[in-house]
Amino acid sequence: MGMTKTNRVWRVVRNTVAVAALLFMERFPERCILATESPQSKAQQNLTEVTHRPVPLLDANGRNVIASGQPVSAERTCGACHDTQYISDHCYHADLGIRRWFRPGQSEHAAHAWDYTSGGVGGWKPFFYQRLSPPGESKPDLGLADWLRTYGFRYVGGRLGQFGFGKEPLTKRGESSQEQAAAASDTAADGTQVEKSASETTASAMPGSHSGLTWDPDLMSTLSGNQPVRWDWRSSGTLEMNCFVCHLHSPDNTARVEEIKAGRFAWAVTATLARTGAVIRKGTQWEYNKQAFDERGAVVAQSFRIERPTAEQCGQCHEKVVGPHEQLSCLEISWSDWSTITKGQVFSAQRISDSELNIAGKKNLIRPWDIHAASLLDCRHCHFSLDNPALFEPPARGRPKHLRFEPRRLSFAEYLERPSHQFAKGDTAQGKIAPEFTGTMRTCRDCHDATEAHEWLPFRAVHLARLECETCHIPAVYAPALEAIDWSAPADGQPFLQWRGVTWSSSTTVPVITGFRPVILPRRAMDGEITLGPYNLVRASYWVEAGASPRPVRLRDLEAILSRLPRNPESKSGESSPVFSTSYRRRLPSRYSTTELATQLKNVGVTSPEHVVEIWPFGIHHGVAPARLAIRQCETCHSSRSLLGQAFSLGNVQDDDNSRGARIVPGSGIPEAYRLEISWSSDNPALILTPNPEKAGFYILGKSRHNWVDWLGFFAFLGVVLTIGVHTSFRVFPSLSLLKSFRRQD
Amino acid sequence: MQKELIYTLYERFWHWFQAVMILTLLFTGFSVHYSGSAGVIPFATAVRLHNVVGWLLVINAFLGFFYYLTTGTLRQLIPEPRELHILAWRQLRYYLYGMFHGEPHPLQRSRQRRLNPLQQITYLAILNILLPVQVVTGVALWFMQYSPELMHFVGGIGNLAAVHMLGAWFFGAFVLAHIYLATTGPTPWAHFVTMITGYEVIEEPSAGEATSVQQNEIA
Repeated sequence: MGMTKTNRVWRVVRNTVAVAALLFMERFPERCILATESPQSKAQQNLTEVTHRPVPLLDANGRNVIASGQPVSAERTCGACHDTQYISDHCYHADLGIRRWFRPGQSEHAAHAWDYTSGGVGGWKPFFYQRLSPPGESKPDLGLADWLRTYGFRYVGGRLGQFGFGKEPLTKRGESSQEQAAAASDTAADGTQVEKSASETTASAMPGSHSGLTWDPDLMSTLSGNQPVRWDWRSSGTLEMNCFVCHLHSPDNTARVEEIKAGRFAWAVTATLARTGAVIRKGTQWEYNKQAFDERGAVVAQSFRIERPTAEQCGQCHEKVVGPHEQLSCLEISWSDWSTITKGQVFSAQRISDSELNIAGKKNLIRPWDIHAASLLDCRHCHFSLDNPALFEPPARGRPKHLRFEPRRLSFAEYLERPSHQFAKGDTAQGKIAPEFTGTMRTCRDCHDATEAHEWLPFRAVHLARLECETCHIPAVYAPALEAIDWSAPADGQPFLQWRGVTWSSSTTVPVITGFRPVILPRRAMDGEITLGPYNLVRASYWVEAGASPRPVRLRDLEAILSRLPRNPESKSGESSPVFSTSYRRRLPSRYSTTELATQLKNVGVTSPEHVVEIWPFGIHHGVAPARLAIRQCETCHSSRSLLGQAFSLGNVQDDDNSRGARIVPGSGIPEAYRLEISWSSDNPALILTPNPEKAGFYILGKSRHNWVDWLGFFAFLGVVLTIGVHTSFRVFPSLSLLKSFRRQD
Repeated sequence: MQKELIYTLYERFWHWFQAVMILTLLFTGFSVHYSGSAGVIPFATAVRLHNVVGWLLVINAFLGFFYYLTTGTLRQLIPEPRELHILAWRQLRYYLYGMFHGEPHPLQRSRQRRLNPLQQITYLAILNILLPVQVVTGVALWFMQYSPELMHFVGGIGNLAAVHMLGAWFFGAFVLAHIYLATTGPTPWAHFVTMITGYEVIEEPSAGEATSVQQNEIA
């Protein structure tokens, strides 16, 4: 039976539509539902990532730990497949800048005269007050072992923890004579011999100083007493790079830190595995759980999962990270939460309103802590390995302008064997380590086309050229952050802290987290452009022993004088509450005057003690709000009450300290022409910074004024008004007199 | 008494349109500069309005220039150098003394001679200095939205804004003086009426006044 005419027409129409649909799907796959992938399916895909094969755990000699009972060596264990030597040598997390240390005071780029690297261990920050004293220093503060025990909780291990300032492994250097070792470590990274001043080579009689021998931080320790003693590296082991702390699904960082603090460096890697069930703590010892291993000595425990680092792993040292299955019921902040304590950043996909924190106006904060966390992004997506073939981009510097794509990159096999652990990093006010990698990270504009998303924005090009994205997209921070850190008179080895974004009420023990609006400051980026971005500012106060080799006064010297003074009755230890806790002190009024402390410091041999007050800027880049909450009102910036001129508290100060001479720490990129304007209130002495972007060449319509223009124009206008007034009066009064004369004539 | 057409319809339209534009620019500019203060309009509205009206003013200025050039009216703006100082002094004396004592205006306005010497000097300065400065700085500020690099060549927005703002103050002072001087006609409203209707009532000069007017015409 032949097809009817209607059927033929229908078939032609149907086929045409089908072909058109196929062509459309091929041309625009992103518009076709079938071709797209839901975020949920992506999340599921992540959960089912290919897992690492079972790993035999090896000790430092390459023997299986089940047989030897020795500590796990990540270098040997992971080194079976990956070039761990290469990884350790190409990782600024591992060397912390020590590879290129210089004599203190020899670099014009250093923020302080006592800095000896660009960051990490030798670029001193008042937040980690005690210094790893470089070789040859008189009155040393900490030796390498001391530094690791004090601040190793944020150090992954590696080059610094295994070699120190020298080029030989620390365990081998311990075998040679101390004098040879000291001589070896007196050679700076560039091969130049570090000169020793007379004061450095002469034995000092001050408390805590050593006598007779030149200070070698690699081999000596000061923590155990006033006199430096040799540290036995063969007994403690060295702190090798700990792959598991970042690559294990659930590393036990607490156990790792305990081992480091106890000086059992070799066991730090083993302790990291505590949650996997492969190792069991027995007192201060560790034993291997044979049940968790197969017959080849490989760990088969389900919880031993090797994976790409997630935000949780990075968060162990960098920031408070709250995973999807955690409930944020208490914001416990410690120095491990570096970006939280300095900037109030919390990296979490959870809604702020869902947390159990006592945040003011919480019910209206129906937004994630960080929009990128909510978008399933991890730290590694922006701070990727610079060799990662999937994410590698050649740096703009030195790249031919015509080169749009660089096809040359490692194969995945090559990358897996030798993955560079130099991670892409930003160009920030606070990140000085590894300056050669500054500006390599993926920025907002590498992923987002701002011109497409801001069609509504008037004068778009000017705004995008002069503002960092974060200025509008991080309108507020909803966790407490440091306002001031004061080492002038520490108690129990801890500084006094002042917090912003949280208020303590005397009537209740539960503080209210108010959050804070970042201060908007201009900063000169590496490309020379000055842009406005959000910052938290932290005032740091501390004592410096001035002279030929200035350096911060040692904590033990401060404690020596404070022990002779009556204890400050108002200080109390720690701040703890159901919603916000920190083991560090909140600032309470000290009754020690700066003058009194200076006198006491002189009495214990500190030459020319100077009280220094610095302002440390911390650029805020995380905690991005959804676009709907970004600043959109023009008047927020373009008015006399502009956010760009918003006064920013730098905390309460004492009348006689050096706060009037406070300066922004050098090298932060805040333009030198940008001077601080500090208000001083005598009733409640406090430092207030009033931003003045005009000093950095900004002119913000509606906010900025040329006063002379306004006054000149006003007087010109006033002159006209007065002239009119005088002229009018002459016109009116003679007319009246004429009118009278006319009336008389009538 | 007779009525004479002083301003054509286009000239009146041009004047009032320009007046509205200038007043709007002054108000919106004030709203931008003093954003957030009482009595001003929102910043975004003020900026948009300022830009649109600014361009309208520029277009109207060019159309006016074309009209005045082709009709020859432009010549009225150019003062006669001969005896300018004498005529200017007479006008100044009238404003400062004569008008208080009932003296006649030294210039009898006509369609061919609308501006007194002081007006000619003032308008020449405004049209050759103040208006171009305002237009150039205003267009430069507007153009930066497309090319922020321009900022580097002019030393930042601040320099442009300073010149533009000073010009705005002077424009405001001029507008005020202009409105006031418009009240110095035979009656306070006479010049306003003329600028609306186009016609001015011209009185027959007395013998003495006729001499004065003749002298002006000779000049």
